[in-house]
Amino acid sequence: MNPIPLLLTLCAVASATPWPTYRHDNRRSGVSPEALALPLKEAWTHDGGAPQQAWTGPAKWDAYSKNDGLQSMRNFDPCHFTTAINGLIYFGSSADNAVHCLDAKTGKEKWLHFTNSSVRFPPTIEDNKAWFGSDDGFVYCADAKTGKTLWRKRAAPTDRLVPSNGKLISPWPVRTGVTVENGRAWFAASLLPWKTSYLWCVDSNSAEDAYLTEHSEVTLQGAMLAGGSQLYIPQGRAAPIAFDQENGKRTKQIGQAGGVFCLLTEDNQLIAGPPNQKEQNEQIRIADTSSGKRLTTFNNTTRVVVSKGKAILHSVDKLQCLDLTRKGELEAAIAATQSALKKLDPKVEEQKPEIEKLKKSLIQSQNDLKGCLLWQIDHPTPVELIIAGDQLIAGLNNEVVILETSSGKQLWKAPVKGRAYGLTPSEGRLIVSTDLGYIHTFAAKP
Amino acid sequence: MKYLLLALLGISTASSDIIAEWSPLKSQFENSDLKPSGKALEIPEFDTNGNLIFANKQHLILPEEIAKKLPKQNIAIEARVRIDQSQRWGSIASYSQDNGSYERGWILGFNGDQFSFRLSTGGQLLEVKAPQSFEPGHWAHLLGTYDGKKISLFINGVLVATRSASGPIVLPDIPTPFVIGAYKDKDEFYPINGRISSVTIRNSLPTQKELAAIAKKSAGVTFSVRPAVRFLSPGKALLYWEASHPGKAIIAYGPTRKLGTVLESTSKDLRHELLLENLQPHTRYSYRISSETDDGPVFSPIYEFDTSMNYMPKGLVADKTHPTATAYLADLPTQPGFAVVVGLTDGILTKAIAAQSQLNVTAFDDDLERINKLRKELSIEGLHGTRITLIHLPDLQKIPLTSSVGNLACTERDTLPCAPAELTRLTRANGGRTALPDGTMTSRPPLPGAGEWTHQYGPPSNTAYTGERLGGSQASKDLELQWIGRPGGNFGIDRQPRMSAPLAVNGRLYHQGLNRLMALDAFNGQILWGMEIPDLRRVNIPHDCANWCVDDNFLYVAVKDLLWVLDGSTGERVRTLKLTADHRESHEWGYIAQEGDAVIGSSVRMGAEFKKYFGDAWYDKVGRDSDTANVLSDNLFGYSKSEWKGRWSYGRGLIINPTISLSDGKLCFLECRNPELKSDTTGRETTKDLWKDIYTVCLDANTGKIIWEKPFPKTLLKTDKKGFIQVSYGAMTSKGFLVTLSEGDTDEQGKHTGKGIFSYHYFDLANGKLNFQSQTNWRINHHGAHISHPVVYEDRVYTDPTGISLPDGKVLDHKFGPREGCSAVVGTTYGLLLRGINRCLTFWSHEEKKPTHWPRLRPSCWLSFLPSQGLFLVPEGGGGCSCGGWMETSLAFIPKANSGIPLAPITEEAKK
Repeated sequence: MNPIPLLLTLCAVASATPWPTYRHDNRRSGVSPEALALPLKEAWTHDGGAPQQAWTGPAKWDAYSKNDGLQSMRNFDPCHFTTAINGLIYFGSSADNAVHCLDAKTGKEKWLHFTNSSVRFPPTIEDNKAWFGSDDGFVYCADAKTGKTLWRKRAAPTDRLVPSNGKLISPWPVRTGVTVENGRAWFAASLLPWKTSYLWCVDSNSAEDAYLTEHSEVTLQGAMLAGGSQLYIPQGRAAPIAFDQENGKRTKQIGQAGGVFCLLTEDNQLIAGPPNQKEQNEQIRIADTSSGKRLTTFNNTTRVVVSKGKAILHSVDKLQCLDLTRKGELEAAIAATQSALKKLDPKVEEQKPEIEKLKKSLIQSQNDLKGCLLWQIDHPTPVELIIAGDQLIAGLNNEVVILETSSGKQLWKAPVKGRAYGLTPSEGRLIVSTDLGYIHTFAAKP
Repeated sequence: MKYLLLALLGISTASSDIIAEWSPLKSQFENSDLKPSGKALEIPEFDTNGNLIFANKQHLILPEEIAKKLPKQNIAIEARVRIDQSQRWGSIASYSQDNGSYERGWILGFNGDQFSFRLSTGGQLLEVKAPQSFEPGHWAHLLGTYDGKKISLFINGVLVATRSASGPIVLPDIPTPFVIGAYKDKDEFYPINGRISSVTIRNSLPTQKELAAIAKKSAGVTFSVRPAVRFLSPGKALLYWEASHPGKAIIAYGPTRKLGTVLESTSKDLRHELLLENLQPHTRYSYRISSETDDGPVFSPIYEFDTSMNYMPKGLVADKTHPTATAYLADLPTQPGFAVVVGLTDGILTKAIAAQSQLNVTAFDDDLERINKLRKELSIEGLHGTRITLIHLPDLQKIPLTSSVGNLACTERDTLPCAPAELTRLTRANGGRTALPDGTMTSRPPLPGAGEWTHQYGPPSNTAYTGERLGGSQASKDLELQWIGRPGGNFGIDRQPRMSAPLAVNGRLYHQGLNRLMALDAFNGQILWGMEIPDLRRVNIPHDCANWCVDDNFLYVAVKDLLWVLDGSTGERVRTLKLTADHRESHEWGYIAQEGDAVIGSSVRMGAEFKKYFGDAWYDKVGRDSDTANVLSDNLFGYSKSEWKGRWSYGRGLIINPTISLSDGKLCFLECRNPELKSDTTGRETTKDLWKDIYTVCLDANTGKIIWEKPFPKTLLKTDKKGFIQVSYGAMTSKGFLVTLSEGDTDEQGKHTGKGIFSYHYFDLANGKLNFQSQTNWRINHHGAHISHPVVYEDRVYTDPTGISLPDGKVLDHKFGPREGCSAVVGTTYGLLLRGINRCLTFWSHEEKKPTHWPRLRPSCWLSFLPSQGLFLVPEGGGGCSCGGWMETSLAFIPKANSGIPLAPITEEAKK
């Protein structure tokens, strides 16, 4: 999505903020500017069928390394994620291979658009068009109101299909979703590292090629991100790769990241995790996308949401809010001080005053770090966190809750069936997708 | 935590010899404080049975003055424990310091997965250690005793280890914590993970009567046939077992160790079958079986099964008497799979095929309007994409599907919209059915040049080569993806630590995981059935033999003392076979092979097989230690498949399991005939004396009669004074029995020099005459290179990194590889398959003598890939290795020449 027109739209129609793509925008921020009017009441529930995930869960443990509780690094399709705009709700189904469009008010199906295999991300909606990719190796553009096909493009090099988990897929499935911005659409066809993968950029209206680049020894899976003239594509158990958005050339690998939970902050920091399966603790790391260096690490967490310089995350039965900007500044200062200290020799008399000064500064910075914790509350571990205005929405096992971002105070909660992995606050509604395939929609009480 | 001091020191109690006892139960706890004294070091948490949970850093500190006053000899320390995770320096109860040369006190605990009892009489801590591994999560009664002369360790009332010592226990003379649930001294702290329900200290040693009572109480539920869970349909599974005694049986099960749901078996005999329904998906269930005895209820350990492994298809409501569907499906195995329909009319036949079978049906059709109408109907029923998938294809002449997928390939139309050859191409080899509109039905034969991987190393002759041609493939580029998917990383034991290899025959692929096994369709990856068997696991196969083999119809699986014969297409257990009568109480089923009408088994001492996998269980440490000891059989025996009756048994010496080979009715192996070792064995090679009295033996596999026997010649590097045998393998060609030994070099003091050889000893199969001895050098002595299993062709043998020619034994003029990582090597007609470049799956070409590889494909740490059925099958084997960007999936390759679809580059036209 083009962020500038979208922003203008949001300002103009503040009471009808849409959620037009996976996790709201191309940075996959999970942040919507508009709060929901509370309390909400369940309007309807749609049974989308149990998701047929691309990959199973991880091993029970790495027994040899004595690492247990291994994390899934390819869990990009645990539910039927939704997008929502103009009173319509969309989801792609890994179960019945179709994109569904539902009336947001009633839950009634408006249209179905079938593909030949699983659809793992919701369509991106803009200008009454819906773009989506499929495991069949094709990308589709449909009329967002009718579902009528506008164009279909094969992203895979051949039509070839092979069995996979009881279905047929292309050896080059499209599992990145479709990123749309400034009249262009980006997507990748990829799976097998020993086969060439394809990164496409096409005219979003006509499917006419802008460019196609080929990449070896990669497996591009998980929602693509865009920001700062770069595209980022996760790889699951390997680090995400950055590509120049203009020409599709590979620019770097963000070695401090991994997994398929990825988001870009407003200042182009990539928050991603888990970095690997080796760490004893679940981790999410923040990397500077320009240097690829790690900026900070959040331990014991799997989800972070960032808004206005503040990060909200969970850690060992706690929810906490951090001043991320200040934390970054202090950690940079600490790193610089430690680096300076290393260069000094405490045995050299004339360097001692400088060493003392730096040590004091270090202690001060370390103390100041504690002040970055703005609030912390006891809270069960969420499987998803997003923000709507001044509300934090947390998806839990069989429950969804809304809390105040400023304090963590609980404002509202409701039961759902299953783990609430997908959260879409849009146009006054909260749409919750669970791992059992249910889509619950809550709306303001009349 | 509850601390219950039942008797004060020096004060006589009802049990006069008990001087102290702690029973850590919730009811005995007050906050973190123990009654009457002591403390839990973390906030105590309890399980549903009221046992303190030892996890994280939880442990109990007891008053040190009690420890100081305990007897220094004539002491018995006992505990009832459940260790959930093996670890280094695990302690159940201890009062000890182990600081360099300062070693004092005593420790009842474990190291790795072996229980131990250690004490100091002034010098180093003296240890007695159980020779066998404990089973994590299972309760056990431990008893360590010291009478001033002998240290002994009993498990469940049975003596497992003893050693001499003298003098009183010398306790630490510096402040030392008296601890339950951790090893803790001045500078070390190792908390444990598990439960300890009681710790008792006595001032006398137990009598035989008391030990017998402990053994009886510890036995719990006894089984005639061990339990297993087989998945039937989504949310439904069958739990079944056979009790050793009649009586009421109850199971409790649930998604946590709290269990919850209770079911009572209504069986009046020994066989119990309980249907578990409404199981939650993707959930790890625990269950426990209990039965009534004269002494009250007894319980099994808590077992597990995981519904994530339940991939059985859901049924559908539709006409189940469709005549055409009935005809098409007649006599096809009742198992999941794929049906391919080319050309629809109204979708009724397609739906009937799905309803009348367990097949996933994919239909291709050229009418988009018809397709979308049917898709919507099926979607409303929840069937589209799960049991039935409709695919629009403008041109039905050429179906863009890889070859050999459909267990059934047919059309709904009166006229086939493609050439019959195209429908045949889509039909799965090894018995898939092509049904033409005129009623003609044909069965597709195996792919040309396909081999069958029926045993650990291919054929029962252990050659790691079955004659598989893989369509002439010589490089990774010659193979195309055939299917990809389940089972995934959650199926196995991280790297499958030297577990039994998968097997493939008759179009089916069988794979073992963490106490589970699964059957898949080799050609389309569809999971046919899955079973969770708590007692299945066997590891360290290089020093043992696999626990299974297969033929066209049956899978033969050794589980404890029985051989389970399972229907290959459904997983149903059709019968069990027993050990020879003299070994049923003391042994377990070891070797297993089949050929023709013969099923061959062996008996190994109970507990001799390796099972541990957590931590440093790698089984390839250079040199000899307890983990690299061969497992030995006390006898071999033959069954007849046609009658399912035992025919013969042979049991002269100790048979070295990895050397047992079977081919063309001959059974060859190495046997130690040292009478002292025969009478005093744990079932594992515990001494290098094993190699002093070795014979090479050849039996008639159908009668058990000796065809020939010869003293084994001198080894080439190892002598009586130095060197060691790292592994020993047997394999057979059509002409000879090849023994490959890995011999390590040591100095006179027994220190390994870092070098070693593979020595080859080739015996004439007709008469046992030694044809030659030959040798090649080790490349390295780690990561499995020095335990490399040979790949044996009729004219060559390969071991890392080279080999020898046959029949002359000359060293080959070339090397293969690079071989990296821990896996074994297997052969095809045109190359070797191994873990090679960048530790990824690699194909080394015999002709080019060059490797090519598949990036990010990590096999297991022994053998998880096999060329068989005309395919290269790679079920998941290394996903739990947390250190790499592995693909963490199962998949299969088909030779490009047989894949059916030419792979064209993207053309300008295609882009449009």
